[in-house]
Amino acid sequence: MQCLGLAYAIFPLLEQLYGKDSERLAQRTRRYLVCFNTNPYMAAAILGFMVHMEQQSEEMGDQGLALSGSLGGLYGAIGDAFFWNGLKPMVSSLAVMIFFWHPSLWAAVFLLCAYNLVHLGMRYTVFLHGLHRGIGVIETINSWHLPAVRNVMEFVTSAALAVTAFLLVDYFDLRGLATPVLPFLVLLALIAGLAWRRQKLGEGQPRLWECLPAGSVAVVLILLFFHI
Amino acid sequence: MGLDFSSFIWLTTKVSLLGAICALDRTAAFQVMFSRPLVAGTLGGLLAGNWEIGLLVGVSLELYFLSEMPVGTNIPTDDTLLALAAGGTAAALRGLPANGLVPEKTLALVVLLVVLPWAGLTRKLDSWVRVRNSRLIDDMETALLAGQNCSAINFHLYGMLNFYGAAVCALGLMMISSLLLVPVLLYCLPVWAWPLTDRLLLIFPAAGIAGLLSKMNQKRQLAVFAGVALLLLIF
Repeated sequence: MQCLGLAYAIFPLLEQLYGKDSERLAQRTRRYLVCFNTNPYMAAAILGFMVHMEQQSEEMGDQGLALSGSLGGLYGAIGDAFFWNGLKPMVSSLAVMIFFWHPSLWAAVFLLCAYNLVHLGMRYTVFLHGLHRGIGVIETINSWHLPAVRNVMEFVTSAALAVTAFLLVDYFDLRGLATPVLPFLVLLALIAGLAWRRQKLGEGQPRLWECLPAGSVAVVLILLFFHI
Repeated sequence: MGLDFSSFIWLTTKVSLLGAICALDRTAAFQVMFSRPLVAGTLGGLLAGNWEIGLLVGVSLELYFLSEMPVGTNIPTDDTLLALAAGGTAAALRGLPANGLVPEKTLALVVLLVVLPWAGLTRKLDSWVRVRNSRLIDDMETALLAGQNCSAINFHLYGMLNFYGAAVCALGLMMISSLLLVPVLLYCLPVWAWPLTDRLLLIFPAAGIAGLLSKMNQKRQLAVFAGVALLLLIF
């Protein structure tokens, strides 16, 4: 499906290069309707590279297309790991943490600003590098050490999740007259139980019919023993 | 406790038509995180007249589906549509004097419980639109062979229209069902249960945290979580 987007994005250049010859333009555009699949953000790097190649000559354009398959796979893996498994969970966890600390629109503002600052900056940079340096864009992306950055982001996510869990105690008024320690421990037990069950089933997605009874028991326990 | 007919139709239409633009951000266009439940829920609430409860609904859903990643061929639940519908419904019902006494978190919980069963539908709809859109490649190729270069390239935009149409239908369906069902459930909910239901909303962020923890494949990450939790317990 991404090939439609690729053809749409590169069409203005093809029109500029082969616009006078309608048949050739159609033929070149059809060449871009090949199977293309990558991370949507990293597609900018490949698009820049393809524009760079196509601008030089038709043959170079074909070579660029031939390489795009392997580049798509490579950047798909890097981009998915960095953006979907690293940046998105980190920014979302921090935004949720901000909300439970101080409920306001700042959480949404933070989410939009933090994510877009990184992702738009990266998209713009890799596109320009692909456009000007061609295949050299690989070196640019390598120099960023994205897997190492992703590791750091995962640690930040873990810390933000722990703080969020703690903030839930006050936000949902579970503390009562007791210290927040005991309700927090019950909450941690609930989270650990649900996480263990998810891991055992090999699924990340929580099921409502599991969470609801477990959550009800935890809340009733907290209300009975620590709140009233 | 429910809305009058004209408000019902107006709100459903407004949230469906405008909210679906926000839903496009998920796959079809932009991808600048307007589709995150935190933002989409707030927007759904804003469209129905109360962004605060929309934000609460959005933040509850933000972590819940985060462990589902759009990696490879996996099509995750469309939490944008769920957040938009839940935010819109909660805000619409919050504005009614009859619901003025119902605590905000209880209302958010009931709305989420009514909207979440539609999660399966959003996945199927997304998958259906993708299959439909994949046919556009052949249509585009045919148009190019016929020499209609400029109109051929617009098939890409038709793909976006398919996403938009599907989002409008799904949002409309979810809004209608929840606007009808939630007032009945609120009416049936006894007042003595409010302290429990008010706090039960925490299952969404808690389950979201659990989902993310279960996906962590490095022991060091879990150690960081445990370490920070321990520090918070001590201090």
